[in-house]
Amino acid sequence: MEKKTILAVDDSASIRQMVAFTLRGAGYEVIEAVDGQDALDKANHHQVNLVLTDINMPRMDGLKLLELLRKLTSYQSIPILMLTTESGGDMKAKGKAAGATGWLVKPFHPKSLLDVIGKVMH
Amino acid sequence: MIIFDKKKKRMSLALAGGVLVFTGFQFYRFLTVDGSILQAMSIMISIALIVMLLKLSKTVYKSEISTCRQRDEMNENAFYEGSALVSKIPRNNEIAEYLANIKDELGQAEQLVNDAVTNLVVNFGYIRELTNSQRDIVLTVEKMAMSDDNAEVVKLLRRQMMMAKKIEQELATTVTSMQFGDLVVQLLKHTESQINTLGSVLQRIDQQNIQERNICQADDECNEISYATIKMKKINQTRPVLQQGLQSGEVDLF
Repeated sequence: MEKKTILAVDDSASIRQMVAFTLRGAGYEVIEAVDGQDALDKANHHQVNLVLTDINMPRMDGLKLLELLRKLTSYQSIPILMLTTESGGDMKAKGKAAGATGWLVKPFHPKSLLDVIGKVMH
Repeated sequence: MIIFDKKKKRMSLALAGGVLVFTGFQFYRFLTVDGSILQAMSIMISIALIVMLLKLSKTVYKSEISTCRQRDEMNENAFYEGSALVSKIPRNNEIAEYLANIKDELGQAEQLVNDAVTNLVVNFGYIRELTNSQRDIVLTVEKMAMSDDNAEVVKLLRRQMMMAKKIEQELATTVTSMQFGDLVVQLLKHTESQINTLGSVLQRIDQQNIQERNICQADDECNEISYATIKMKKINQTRPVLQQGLQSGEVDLF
């Protein structure tokens, strides 16, 4: 069976590594991006099955990335999950309006992350 | 500049007053004693001098008002510019320096947290690799032992396998704790932006304080904020942590 690819976007190297460790351990292929701009470039060059992104990042934040990805035909129906320290209702509403599939607040537990990804991908 | 203008205004008014008294005396003599043409001319010149001095004093007053208005505008802008003000117009150097020191320490804390997290992540990755290798070895040896029908060895290997699974579960739990670095760094950044705002508010209060005392120059000795800042600096003179990273510390043998 072909491995599913996940684009993990976070400016924190430690978070990227923890996400990658969790996802690779569960059998996913992981592409890492350091901010929204980097993610957008990688999204244009690879076809991914899910995007997991932070919000507060330099150059381009997660909400802008979400907005731009949803404009691309190939990313209109791809699950995009926000993984962030932000837990305010306003921010969540903005994410939902911009087309986010789900919202996870950091710190994440590996099992919860894998459960959510499993749910939205199948 | 404003103090100079104020002095000019006072001098003009004093001179005008003096000339007025002199003119009054001349006028009295002109009416009562000997009203000569020379005295009449002297009175007229004095009146012209009074008018000139009054006009001069009015010009100085206008200049003062305009300078104060400019200062008010600067204060208003300062309030809205927020954190940017601290670096743009450090009018009270004591406040600017004190807050810059606090920000330096926050930066140092951020660096230490980043170093700690980087080291932990490296160690974490290494432990994970070792655990995976150990599991693979156990599985291989288990297969070999089963074919030789060595029940005791298989039993031991199964126990070993259970331990490896436990270690993996513990590692998964560690993933949650390892995210503290990101949270701490974000909190430090937020604290830094709050310090910037506090700095701009302090600068504004400082300026208002100066204006209310009607002293149009920064006079640190009578500025309460400067005084408090200097006092705080004296109390916190020594930094408890000087290390910039998590390299091993120095060893001194005596």
